[in-house]
Amino acid sequence: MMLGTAGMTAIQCAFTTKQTREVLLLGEKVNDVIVTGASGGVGSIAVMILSKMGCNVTAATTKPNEEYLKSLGAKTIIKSGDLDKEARPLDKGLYDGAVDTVGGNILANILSHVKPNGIVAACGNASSIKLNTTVMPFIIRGVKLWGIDSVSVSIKRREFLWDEVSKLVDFDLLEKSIKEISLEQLLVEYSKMLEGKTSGRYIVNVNK
Amino acid sequence: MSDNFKALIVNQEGEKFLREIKTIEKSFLKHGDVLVKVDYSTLNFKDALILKNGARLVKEFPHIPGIDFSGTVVESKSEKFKEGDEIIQTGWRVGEIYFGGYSQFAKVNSNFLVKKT
Repeated sequence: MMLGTAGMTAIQCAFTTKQTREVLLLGEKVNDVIVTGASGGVGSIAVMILSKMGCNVTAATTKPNEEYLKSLGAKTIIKSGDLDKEARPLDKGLYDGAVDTVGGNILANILSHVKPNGIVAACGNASSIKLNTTVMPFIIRGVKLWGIDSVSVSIKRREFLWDEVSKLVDFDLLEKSIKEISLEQLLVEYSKMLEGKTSGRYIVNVNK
Repeated sequence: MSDNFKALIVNQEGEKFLREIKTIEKSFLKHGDVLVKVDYSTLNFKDALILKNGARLVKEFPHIPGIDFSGTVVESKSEKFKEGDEIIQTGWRVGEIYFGGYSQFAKVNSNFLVKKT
């Protein structure tokens, strides 16, 4: 259960950002990618998988955990705060693709920073459910905003994804970010998560 | 299995949203054709939203949240699973419209489960 819903979501995001674009563009490589909410459950696994796939990963986070994100494979760490402002319709093209786990202004800025034909896989709303963007990234750069959910994935695809993700994740490394909590502790931790005060994966041992 | 076990239950009583760890009976579980002894669930952002106030995702109360879990099958009415199978459950709105993994036992639709290999 080290992966769970977060792992299922992260592998879908990574496949979308990297492999889907490479297929659409007949093999043109996806190199530079950004992962937002990189210290979170989905974000940290996405950083690990995309790095393993050979991408040059930039990790955006609010947390002071540069060393940990670098251990997962991130090459560059940036502060999420720098992206949490009203987005320009188009900004400097920096990334071939992105995984966004937070939504809001950060996602809007990511869309403006993605290079032509990049795919942004969006799967979260920890920052905001709102998205204040323009049509410009889509019509000028052909940027693609690709929604990812972990709810309605067929069993056939789930079995495939579990197989793939287990090849791409370093479980010993992932384990370092995992906190095992009881049902009682869960009643405390969930509100910290809503306040943005948690990082990494939380596994609930229901028999603890 | 013993008839009583522990689960985190959320409930809505008027304006109040309650979260409690309770001892419940197997008969409390109402969905699905496979009974699973749960080992682990996880805490995801969606879980946190549900634990706060149901997040408009939970339609009926009382409810057991927890959008994923892993464990071992203890009873199955489905031909696809048998006692002792290790499974993993994610998605399909388990923990939202169906009871989830914050429970020592969970009943789930066999069409949702993936066998661990």
